[in-house]
Amino acid sequence: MGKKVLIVDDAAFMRATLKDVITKGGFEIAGEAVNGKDAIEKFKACTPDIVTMDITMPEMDGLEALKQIVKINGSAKVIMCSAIGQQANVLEAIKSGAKDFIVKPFQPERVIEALQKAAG
Amino acid sequence: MKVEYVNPFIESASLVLEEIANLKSERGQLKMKDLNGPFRDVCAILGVIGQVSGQVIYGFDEQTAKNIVSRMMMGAEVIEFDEMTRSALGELGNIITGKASVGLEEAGYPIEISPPTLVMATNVRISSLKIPMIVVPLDTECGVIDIYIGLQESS
Repeated sequence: MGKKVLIVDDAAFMRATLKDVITKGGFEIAGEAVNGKDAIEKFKACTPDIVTMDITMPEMDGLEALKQIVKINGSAKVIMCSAIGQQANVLEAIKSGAKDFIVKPFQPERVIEALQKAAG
Repeated sequence: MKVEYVNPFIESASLVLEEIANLKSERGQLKMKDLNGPFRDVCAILGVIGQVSGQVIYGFDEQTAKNIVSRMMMGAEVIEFDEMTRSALGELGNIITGKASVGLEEAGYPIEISPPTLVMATNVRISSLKIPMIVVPLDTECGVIDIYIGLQESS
């Protein structure tokens, strides 16, 4: 039984790209969310094993969604996947409970490596 | 407008275009944008807030935009501007700006970026923009990409 991943990104293009990379890496897709608020609802509904989370999104950004998801489930495995690789962002994400931080543009192998590490 | 604001975008665009579109680019002559002149037909607009604020706009002709998205999708044919095409262009702008934000932070100008807005129209004039903009033209096999950079130091 493959581990299930919830993909969170406001760009349809990025969700499609990640879906392709993730399924080729042997994981299943639990669902997709288009912003932070949607991510929290889908997290509760789909109970994914891992979440990939963009940061820059409308309505609620990924850092805020990360904090709320970690409040819902302290052992949630959230991997940030964002274009903004500024050190302050990375540090805040890790401090708030993210397991890893992937900077776009990414190599598919980096994504799989992060998912495998999170899957444990 | 300072040259320090511009360099991170030039470096970032070159790297990102190669990585996600397998596209080499050559920088053309920088110029100031005519405040009243139009932008290119397809524009991905990114808002910037922080130590410097304003807007960065990635402009393409329609065919150039389709050519670039096709490269981003491993050569898949792009016939019309559907949600996926528009999303890909927005994401290109997002990733270039995101990477540039690291360079800006290192230069002492940390910023935050808004989600992208895509505008498609001929003769686009954006009247809300009063900040002088530098235009960085990037020559590529797919056509020219104009990066319009309008940033100023926040008071």
